[in-house]
Amino acid sequence: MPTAPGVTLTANLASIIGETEGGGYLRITLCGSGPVIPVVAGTCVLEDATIPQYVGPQVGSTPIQAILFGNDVITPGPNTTFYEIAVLDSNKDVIQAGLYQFLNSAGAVDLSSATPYIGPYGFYLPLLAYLACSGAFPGTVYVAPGPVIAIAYNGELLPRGLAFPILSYTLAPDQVTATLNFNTEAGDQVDALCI
Amino acid sequence: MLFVSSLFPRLQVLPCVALGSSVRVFTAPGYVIAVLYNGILLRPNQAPPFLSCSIVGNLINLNFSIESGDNIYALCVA
Repeated sequence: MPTAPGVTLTANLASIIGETEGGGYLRITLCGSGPVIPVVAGTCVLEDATIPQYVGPQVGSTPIQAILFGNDVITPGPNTTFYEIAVLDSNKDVIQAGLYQFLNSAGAVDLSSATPYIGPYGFYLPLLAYLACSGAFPGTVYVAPGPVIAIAYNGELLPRGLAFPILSYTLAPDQVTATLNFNTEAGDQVDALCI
Repeated sequence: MLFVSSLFPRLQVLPCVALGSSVRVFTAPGYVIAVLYNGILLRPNQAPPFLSCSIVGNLINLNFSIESGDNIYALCVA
């Protein structure tokens, strides 16, 4: 049975000086599908994913409305994709944007009450990667390609900030330079789980 | 306060499944960040003799064949 879009998103654009803005737009973009064609399984292929869709302009005090599929019924998923929703003025200049995820069962959603989606990690999760660090072997200082979450020595995660004889490391304030409390040998590998 | 919703994808270490009868190709339950072979993280895209893998989305290709009793896990978003 085909899945109908279940989210009715509304937004009432108003001026910071308490007047009804009028003439503003929402720009809605489905993001996060990666290299996969986003679909609603058994219903449709989303032909305009990653392409900004403009809704508006707002006329007087009548809220702008958009009908959306919830991110829980979009593949890749559930809840892998998300919407970027930007508020634009009457000249279609972007004022601000935020990220949101919706359940298809949500029904009516007022953007002024919707909770922005930033993920539970404070950053876009697919940016996390396991990558090789640069540095000399033998040596003690290694630089990761991005802010370090954890350092691995020959594939084993090391605890941070412990004293030798426990193999450990310290992280410099730049968040990418790790200093081991032991010397590596030729043929060793130092990698980082980093952003 | 950090809020982790069960509705949204989470970073997890989860077992991978061999593709068919393959001993080299595995699928993870979600987008793969890193691959673990018997608990050891594999640096990706290395040539033999280093044990390594290539990753595309949730698909993992090892450059070696696993043996009975081995396990392949993924640090993934699922």
